[in-house]
Amino acid sequence: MRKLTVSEWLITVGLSILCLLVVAFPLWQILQSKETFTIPAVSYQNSDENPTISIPVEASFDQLDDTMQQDITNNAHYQAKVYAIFDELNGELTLRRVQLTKPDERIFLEGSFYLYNYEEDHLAKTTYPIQLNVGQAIREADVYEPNETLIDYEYRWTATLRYNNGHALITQLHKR
Amino acid sequence: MKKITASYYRQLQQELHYLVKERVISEEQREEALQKYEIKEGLSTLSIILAIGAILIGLGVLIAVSTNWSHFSLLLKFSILFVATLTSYVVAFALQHHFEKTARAFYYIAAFITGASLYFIASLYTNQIETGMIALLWAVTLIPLVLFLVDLPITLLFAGALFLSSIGYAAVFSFGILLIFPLIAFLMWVNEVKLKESKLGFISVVAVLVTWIAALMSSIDVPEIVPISFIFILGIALFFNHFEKYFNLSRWLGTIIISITSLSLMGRFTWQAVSENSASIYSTSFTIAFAIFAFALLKYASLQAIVFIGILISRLYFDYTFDLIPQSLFFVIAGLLMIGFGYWFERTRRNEGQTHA
Repeated sequence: MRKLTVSEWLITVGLSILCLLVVAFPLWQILQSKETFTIPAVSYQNSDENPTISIPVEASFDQLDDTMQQDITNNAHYQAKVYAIFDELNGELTLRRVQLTKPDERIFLEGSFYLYNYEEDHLAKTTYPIQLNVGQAIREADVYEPNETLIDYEYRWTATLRYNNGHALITQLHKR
Repeated sequence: MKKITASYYRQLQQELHYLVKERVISEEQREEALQKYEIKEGLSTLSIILAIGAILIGLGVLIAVSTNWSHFSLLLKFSILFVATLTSYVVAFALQHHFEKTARAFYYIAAFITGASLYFIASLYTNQIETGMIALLWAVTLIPLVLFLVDLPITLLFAGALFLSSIGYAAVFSFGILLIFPLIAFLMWVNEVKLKESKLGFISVVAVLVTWIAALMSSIDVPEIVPISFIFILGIALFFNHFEKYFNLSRWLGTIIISITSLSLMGRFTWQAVSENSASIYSTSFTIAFAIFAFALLKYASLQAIVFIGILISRLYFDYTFDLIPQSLFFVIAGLLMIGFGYWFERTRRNEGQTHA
């Protein structure tokens, strides 16, 4: 094995550290932000069991952009990265639109969209689930009591998101 | 003076003593030969105990961190990952002059910790990690190690990172997948120039290239036949290669690639994307062309030709007889065919070996 010189070692370590910092940059941006919003969230475990929290958002056909509407009409099926654009009212996020390209709007989150074969006559009735892409750093959370009834086996929460530039962390969970 | 282990030295002494007894060499020659060797310092008991102790401490720290990971703050998590990466590189550098093998192990550990750190940092703020991008960044961090260390395992790890990145980008097209290609070229260059044409390195280049082609085509959602055809052509190019050092290896890699892709191209389903109505004609035409190719090769590359003929007959057999005959008979005949081909292959291989001898 060849031995590294000091300059070679510095280049090796420097590049690794640089890549770590690049990947950590969105996290740093979120931690600098004071902007928070709330949004409905669900989990299949109680908050004290360190659950995976998901934020499913249902988009109607009209809320999808033209390309996605066309794909649904043509019975396409694929998985795509999408951008969900939100309006904010009293700190709560409501979905306005979903599109395939990065938006200019201030409040948006990345998500995944799985397009299946939908029958054309169901287009008006169907909503399309988007799984939002957020991190978890929960510092404060309610806990469901054992005697509390669940709907569809889901623990339902109002999640507080700390947001910056398309990235968000769930920091609080309150029972819905 | 060459350093060898104590047991090897003892064995050498015994063999030289035997040669003296048989009067092949003189006693002076035996002494002179033994003086060319010295016993390498083995691991002392203390070294072994210290090593086990260090491993136990490391395991304990790892378990403590992993069980409490969810309770750590974001800053603490990031700091642990950052410090672990830096520490492994520092330890490797500090040990490399006096403890070469240990230093090499720490460079491997550093490479893995870097990859894991990239993944875990991304998971702090997202629940759908872009594995393609993370693996590509990991490959980028490995470039200096590949270039400066000139070490085959690190190079294979780099190839593995490129492989993972290709797989990660297969679902949705992203500019990142195009960045993989120059890195594959870099991998090839490293194998040729730095690793002096390592065969394992060459296999890794071919494997990553095939995966990348398939992933790129999958990400832009082209019909299956397009990537299969590209990879088939790559197989042909490898088969009819003009490499000096890789001639046989490249021929066999080409054989494997051609066999797998032709199995698909002989099927009607693959050609349906070209034309629904003419799919049968295209698949039959390809099958006939492949049969001519396989039989024509019998004189030129008989072993590989047997593989192709075996693939051809297997495909035809499965396509046309599975529904026609009882399944028990189907599997018995399939087994007999396999044994027959195995016998033909082995006989041809032995004949070729005798011819070269």
